[in-house]
Amino acid sequence: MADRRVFTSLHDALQNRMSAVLFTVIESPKSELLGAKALLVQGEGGISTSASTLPDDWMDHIAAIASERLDPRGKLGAQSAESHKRPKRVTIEPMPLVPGVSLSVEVFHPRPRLVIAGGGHIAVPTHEIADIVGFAVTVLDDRPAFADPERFPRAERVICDDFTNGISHLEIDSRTSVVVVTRGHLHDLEVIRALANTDPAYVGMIGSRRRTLTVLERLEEEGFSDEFVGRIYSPIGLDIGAETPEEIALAIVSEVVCVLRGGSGTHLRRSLRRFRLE
Amino acid sequence: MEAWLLEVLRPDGQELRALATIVSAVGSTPREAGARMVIYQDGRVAGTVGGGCGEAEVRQAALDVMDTGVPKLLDVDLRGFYGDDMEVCGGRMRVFIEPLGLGDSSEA
Repeated sequence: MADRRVFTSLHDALQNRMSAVLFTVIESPKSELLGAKALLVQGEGGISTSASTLPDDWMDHIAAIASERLDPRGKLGAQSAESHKRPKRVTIEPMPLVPGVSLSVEVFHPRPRLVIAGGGHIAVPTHEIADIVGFAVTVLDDRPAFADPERFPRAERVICDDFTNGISHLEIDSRTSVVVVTRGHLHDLEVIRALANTDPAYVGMIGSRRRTLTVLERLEEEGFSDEFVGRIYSPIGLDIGAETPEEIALAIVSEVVCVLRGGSGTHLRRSLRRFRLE
Repeated sequence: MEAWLLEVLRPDGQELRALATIVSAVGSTPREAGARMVIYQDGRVAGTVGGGCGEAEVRQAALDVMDTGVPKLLDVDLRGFYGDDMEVCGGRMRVFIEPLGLGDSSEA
């Protein structure tokens, strides 16, 4: 029978923004082992067993699988920037030395973060769509009237601070995306500069083709590397012909998903037609 | 937070329930491995493993699992033809179904 403690531990791990691996016996000649589980959590001090109903002498093998799955460089770990092939989140593994037993191995990561710098009229629908899609949203603005939790009811955090400070105090990791939609390019520049020593999954900046080009050139003049500037998606968004703030928000979140998932951003119809011709 | 996890941990979960998890999906399936559904004894469900005939099969098996108390690995084949000449989805999936007993819920 499934152990509630395992599920509680999984909930706590994700709540504390930790990754975890859940093992479940899905095939076994002995029915009492079916459904037995272990949850291994990646904390600051490494990977540890947080709850288990599996036999003790399995745990070395289980821990080895968990560390392989949670290794960002491993082939089944987190997606590398170049790789467009998505790793499998769930696999089925046989238990060596125990004939007939196999386990499902499932990796859980906390919700990816989306930071929206600027709380204006694009930020509101962007935060809503991002929340629906599954992002934990943080909104940052330096004006109290815009950094208002009532304006962003679906945000995990709403921060009122100047952009340089606000961004530097956030933990921008490789699972964080940043959408820069402040009220002016001077503020956009503040945000981008504050991102200098971080490695976010995605950075996009709003603006017309001409204005954004000016900003990107300015960054190059300030000594930012081609590589850093080249990673900024600007003008922001997928080309879906967006006109209204809501449509622009959809284009922005679509682009973030596209970059994180390694999508092509084109019509699926095209690939289907090729498939039929083959 | 994952919706299925909140459903499993619901403090008022005092009814007999089962949890169905897609552990592998091959070919075209409506949902991916890791998708889950909670099935209640009266047939209600929360979440989805893809809907349609496949999900109905899972729901039926879940009711059996609640009766026997023994988890089950179910192979669901979506390659069948149902009446007309359109395939449903074309894929296959393996779904692990396990009981979430009353004891589990009262433990916390």
